[in-house]
Amino acid sequence: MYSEILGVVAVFLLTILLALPFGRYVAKVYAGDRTFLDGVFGPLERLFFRLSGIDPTRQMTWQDHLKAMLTINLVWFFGAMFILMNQGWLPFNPDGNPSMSPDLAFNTAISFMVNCNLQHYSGETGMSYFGQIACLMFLQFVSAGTGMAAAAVVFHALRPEQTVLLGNFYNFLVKSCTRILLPIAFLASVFFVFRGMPATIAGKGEMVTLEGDTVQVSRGLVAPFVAIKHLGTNGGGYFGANSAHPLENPDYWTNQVELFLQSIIPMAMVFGLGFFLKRPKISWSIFGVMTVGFLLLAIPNIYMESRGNPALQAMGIDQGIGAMEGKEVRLGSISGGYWSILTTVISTGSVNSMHDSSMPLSGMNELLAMMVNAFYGGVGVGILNYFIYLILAVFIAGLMVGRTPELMGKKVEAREVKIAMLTALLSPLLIMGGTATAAWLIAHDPSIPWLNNPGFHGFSEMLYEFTSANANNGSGFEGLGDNTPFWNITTGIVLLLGRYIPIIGPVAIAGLLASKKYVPEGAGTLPTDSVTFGVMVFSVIAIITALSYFPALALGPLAEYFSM
Amino acid sequence: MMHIFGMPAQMAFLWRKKNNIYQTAYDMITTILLLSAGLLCFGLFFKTVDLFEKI
Repeated sequence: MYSEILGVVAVFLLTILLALPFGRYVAKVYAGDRTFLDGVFGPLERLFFRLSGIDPTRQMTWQDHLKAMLTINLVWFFGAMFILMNQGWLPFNPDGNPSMSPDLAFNTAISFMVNCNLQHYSGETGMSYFGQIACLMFLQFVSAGTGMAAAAVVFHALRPEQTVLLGNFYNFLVKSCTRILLPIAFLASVFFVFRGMPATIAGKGEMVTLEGDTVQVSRGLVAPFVAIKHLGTNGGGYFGANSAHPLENPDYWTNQVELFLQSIIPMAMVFGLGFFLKRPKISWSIFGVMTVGFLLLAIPNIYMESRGNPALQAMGIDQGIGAMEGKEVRLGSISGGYWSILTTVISTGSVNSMHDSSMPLSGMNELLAMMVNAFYGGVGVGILNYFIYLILAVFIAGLMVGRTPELMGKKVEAREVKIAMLTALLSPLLIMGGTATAAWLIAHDPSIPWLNNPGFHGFSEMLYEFTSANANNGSGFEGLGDNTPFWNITTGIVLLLGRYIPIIGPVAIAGLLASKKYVPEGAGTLPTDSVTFGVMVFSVIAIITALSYFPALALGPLAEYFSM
Repeated sequence: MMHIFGMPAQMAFLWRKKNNIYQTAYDMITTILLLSAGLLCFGLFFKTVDLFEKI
């Protein structure tokens, strides 16, 4: 068990260590400085821009950025719906998997477009190779790139000068994909192939089990898919069991690399902000708050999962290696507990154990991680979500000391605070509204076949589904029967609202701040890169989350814990 | 609410079992409705950009 703990500590520390130089590289990419990959990808980018008629040097306002982002995402939505609903007759479908029904295609297209990867299908039987690669893997790259490009706009907006011109969205998007995502994903997929992950366009393979049965084993281009699935914090599994599947996570080393991949860019983006603004202290302040939040969720989870299930212990079932229901024996309970928090904090949503089987309070921590959605968070969008809390903390701190709030030399006024409040309040509305509707329907017609677990756990399953959709996380309490028109359509709408409003809000605030006159920091300025201010931001996050979600958590995981 | 969400799903299930023409018609109508819903959401986001500009 100590070696298991050592494994997760080592991968966590190594990720932080590498996130520092990588953050410097990210800052160089978005500042437009020369990087060592210019020679490889520069000509390709120029060709792409020439063919598409885009001038990557044209400067955009924050409104232009958002309209460009929404337009290109709308095009991807229509394209994805077309492929998913027609994949049955499109090429590269050796297993003969069918096209998706309209409501499932709607949910899946949106889910991958918004970087969530909530899956109401199983890849083995629900997707063709063409659909997996041309639709889902493509969206895994560009949706991650979209989040990073939006963060790059905020980076530019927070510079001291007064401007309305914040770079070019398409340039940020393409560079996010070619300079950051593609090279690392390539290296990772080569590593995965050497560790036994399939990368083939041949159909199902046949194998003889130890019992002598002949079984059909699904394969495909798994290795490249898994690489970007984690690097882009997408999380959608090639197979239904996600990274608990032996071909999607063959051994201990692939498990460690998958843990590393999903956290490296969110951490590097935080350091990248500091390097970009030449204010490393602000990065350490943000990183400190995020890390404290992460550890406060991860350590109890690891403890609870490794301690085992007391209800099973009482039945005389040995819990010496932890709570192993829903976990992989080859990966262990500690890795499962750590992964379950990392994947919900970072908005990846991939799993190497079944969250539905987590201990009740572990399940609550997984929910909390997604409700906050700003402790590291998804690629690009994590820092945008944190930015909203930062604005609210600056505003509250300003009220407390009786000064006009300022952030990095720009006055935070009523407009910015209104946008921040609207953005912050949207999440509870979507999560609570969705869960309340689902609970109402079940209460009025218990024969609806969604819930296999009535009572507190069933409530948690519905709460988790909407929380995951709103946070664009994608993991699930898989006991819920979610491939129904109700879940496909409602979570589809929540996915859209939970993705774009939290991008529009921070980019709008940053754009408004950028257009204001820079006021040099003086003796009366509240420093926003101090430990005290970090504590202030953490308190704001804790209070908003507790006030918004405590009643729902009390009805679900807390009630389940006390009934054990 | 039950009828809004439950009935079309049940009817669609029966139609699908009965006849392919009905299934095709159902799929076409559902697709158009869902694409419209997606378009509507994006329209809302464009309006949100304008709203935040004027707020």
